[in-house]
Amino acid sequence: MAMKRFVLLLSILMIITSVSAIAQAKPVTLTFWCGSAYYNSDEAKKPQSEWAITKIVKQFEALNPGVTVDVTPIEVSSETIAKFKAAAIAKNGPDVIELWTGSYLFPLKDILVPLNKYISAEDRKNISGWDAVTYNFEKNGDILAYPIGNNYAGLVYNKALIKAAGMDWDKNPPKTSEDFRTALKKIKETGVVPFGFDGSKGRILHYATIYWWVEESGYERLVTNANGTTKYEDDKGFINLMTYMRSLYEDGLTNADAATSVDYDSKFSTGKYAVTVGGVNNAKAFEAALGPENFGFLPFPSMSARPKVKASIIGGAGNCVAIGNYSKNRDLAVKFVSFLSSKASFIALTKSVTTFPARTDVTLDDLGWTNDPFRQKIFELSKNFAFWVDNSIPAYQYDEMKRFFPNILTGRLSPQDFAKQMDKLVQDKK
Amino acid sequence: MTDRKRKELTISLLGIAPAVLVLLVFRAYPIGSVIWNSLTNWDGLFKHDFIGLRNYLRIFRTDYFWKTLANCFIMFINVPIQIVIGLVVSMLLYEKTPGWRFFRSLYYLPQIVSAVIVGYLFAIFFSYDGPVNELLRFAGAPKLAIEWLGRRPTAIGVVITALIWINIGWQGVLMLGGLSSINPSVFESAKMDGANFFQRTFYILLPMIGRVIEYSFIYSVAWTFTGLFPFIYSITNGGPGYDTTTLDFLVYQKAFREDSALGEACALAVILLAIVSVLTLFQRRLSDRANSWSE
Repeated sequence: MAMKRFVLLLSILMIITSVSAIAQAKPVTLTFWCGSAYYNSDEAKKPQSEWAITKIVKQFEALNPGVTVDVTPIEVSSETIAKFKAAAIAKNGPDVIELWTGSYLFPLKDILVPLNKYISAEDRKNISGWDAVTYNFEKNGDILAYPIGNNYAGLVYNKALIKAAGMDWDKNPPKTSEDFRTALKKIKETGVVPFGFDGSKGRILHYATIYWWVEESGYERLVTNANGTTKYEDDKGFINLMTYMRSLYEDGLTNADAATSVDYDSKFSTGKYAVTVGGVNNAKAFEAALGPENFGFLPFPSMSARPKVKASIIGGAGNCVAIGNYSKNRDLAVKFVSFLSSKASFIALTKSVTTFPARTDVTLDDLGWTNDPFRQKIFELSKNFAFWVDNSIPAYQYDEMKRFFPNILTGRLSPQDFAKQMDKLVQDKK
Repeated sequence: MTDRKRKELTISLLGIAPAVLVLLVFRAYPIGSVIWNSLTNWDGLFKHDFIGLRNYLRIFRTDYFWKTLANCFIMFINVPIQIVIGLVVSMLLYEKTPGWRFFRSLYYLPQIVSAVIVGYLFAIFFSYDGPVNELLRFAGAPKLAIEWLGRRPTAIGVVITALIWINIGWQGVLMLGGLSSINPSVFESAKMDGANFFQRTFYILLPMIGRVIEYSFIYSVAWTFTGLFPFIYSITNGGPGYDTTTLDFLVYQKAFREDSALGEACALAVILLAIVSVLTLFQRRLSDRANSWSE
C-alpha cells in the first residue's frame, strides 16, 4: 500500500515538474515600439536586420533563450501616443514603447508600470535624467520610464561665412544679445542671410527662443505661468524674448520667409544662411554638408543681465522608454529596458544614433569621440544645460506658442497680446 | 391583418434588416457614441466623467471656434467656382471640341492624385522660393513675390485654388453625365428654332441638369466642411495661428495633438454634423423650389 502511494506521489510530482518545465520553455515574445532614439534616418533606408538596435536585441535574445523581441519602428509623435493609448485600453499595446519625457509622459501614468521597485541601484546611479521621467517632477514620485538618448541644442554656424564678415567665433564668440545683433548686422552686409528661421517647423522657438526665455525667467516662473498662479502677461522674460525675436525679423536679420520656411536646414547646409539653430541630432548632417572645417557650434549668447538659469545650451533626456501596465511579461520587459540602457548597449547605439547616451559613466574615450571637437564641446557643455521647455509645460500651452510664433515674428500679433492670449487659454482650461 | 399580408410584412422586414443592421452598426452607433462622448471629459484613457454641455459652452466661448467656422464659410467660395469651371469643361467635352478625348483624361488627372500630394505640391509651388514667386520675380514683379502661406487671405486663396484644381475633373465628369442624359434632339430643335449658344445654355441645358448641379452643390458644400483635412494638413497645417484651420482639422488637433481632449473633439464633431445637416436641408429646400419652378 505504502509502495503504491509512493509511486502515485512520484508520478504526480513528475507530471507537475514536466508541466512546469513545458511552461518555462514556452517561448515569450516582447513587443517593442522603437523610435528614433534607437535608429537613424540612414539606417531606416537599410534592412532592419542591419540596424544597431537589431543587433542589441539579438544579444538580449541570446542571453535569454526562448525570448523573442518583436521590434516595430515608429516615429514618436502625438499621433503615435494616441495610437498607444487606444492599444493600451484594448490591452494589446506593446510591452515596451519609446515616448517623450516630462509633460508628454505624465498624462500616460495610468497605462504605464511605475518602475521604482524594479530599477536596480546600479541603473539609478549610472543613468541620468530620472527627473524627466518622474511623475510631475516630484521628488519621490512614480518613475514612469527609463530616460534614453540626450539631445542638446545651441546655435550652429558656417565658419566661412562668419570669417567673410570679418569675425572669428572660435576665438571671439558673441556673448550678449547686443553682441549677437551686431554680429548678425555684419553678416548681413556681406549679402548673406544672417540667421535662418523656420517659423513653421518651430525649431527656432523650440531651441533658441525658449532657451532665452528660461534663462531670463527661470523654471519656477514657467511652471507658475503654466498653472495660472502667475501671468504670462507679467512675465518680462517672455515678453522681452518675443520682442527680441520679432526685432531680428523686422531688422532683416533673418530670412524673409521666417514665418513659413520649412527648409531652413537645407539652406543652412548649402551656405545660404550663416547661423541657425541646431542640435546633436542634426549636427552630423550639417557637418557632412559644410565640411568639419566650416561647421561651428555656438553656445547661446546670454540675453539677460541677471540670468536665473546659467547654462548655454538646451537639452536633456527628451526621450524615454516605458512599459505598458497591461504587459504580461512585466519583469522580462524591465530586464529588456535595463539591458537597452546598459553602458555597452549605449556605446553600441551611439555609433548609429545621433543622441548622447543618458549615462553618467560613459566617457569620450568609450564613445570614440576624443578626436571630435564638436562632440567634445557638447559633452563638456552638457554638464550644465537648460531642460526642454516643451517637456516641462502642458502640451496645449506649448502648441499655442508654436502656432502663434510666426504671427509674432511678422508683427501680426504683439508679444503683449500673445501673453494675454496665453493667460486666457490657461484660465479656459481650468 | 391577413396571413398573406403578415407574411409579406415579415419578408419585407427581413429583406431590409441587413441594410438596417449595417446602418445601425456603422452609422448610428458611431454617431451615438460621439454624441455621448461629447458630454464627457474623455482624454482617450480612463477619464470619462459626464460633464453635461460644458464642452460645448467652452467651445462657443473660444475665439478660435468662430475663426475656424468663418474659415469654413470662406472656403465655400471654392464650390460655385469649381461647379462653373466644371460645367464649362463638360460643355467643351460634350461639344467634342478638338482634342476632347485627351482633355477629358487631362482634366480628371488631379482627381486620381492623393490629396496630400496635391497639398504638398501647392505648398512647394507657393513657398517663398517656389516656382510661383520665381515666375513673378522673372516677370519683373518682385514685390508680388510674398509669403503666400504666411498671411490669412493669401493662404486661404492658395487652399481654395488647390480645392478647385483637384475638383474640376470630377465636376466635369459629373456634369458631362448630366448632359449626356439630355436627348440630343432637344438641342437640335432649339438650334433649328434659332436659339444661340447662350440661350441653349441658360434656357435648356441648365434647367435640365438642375438636379445634377443640386447634387454637386450639396456634396461639395458637405465636403468643404468635412473633407479639407488633407489639404490643410499638407499646405498650411492650419496656420499661421488659426488663420486657415477648418473645423475638421480642429477636430483632429483637439483629439490627437495638444492634450488629447477627445471629449472636446467629439463636441466639435457633433457641431460639425449639425451644421452640415442644417446646410444640406436648407440647400435641398432651396433647390427643390428652384427645380419645381423650372419644371
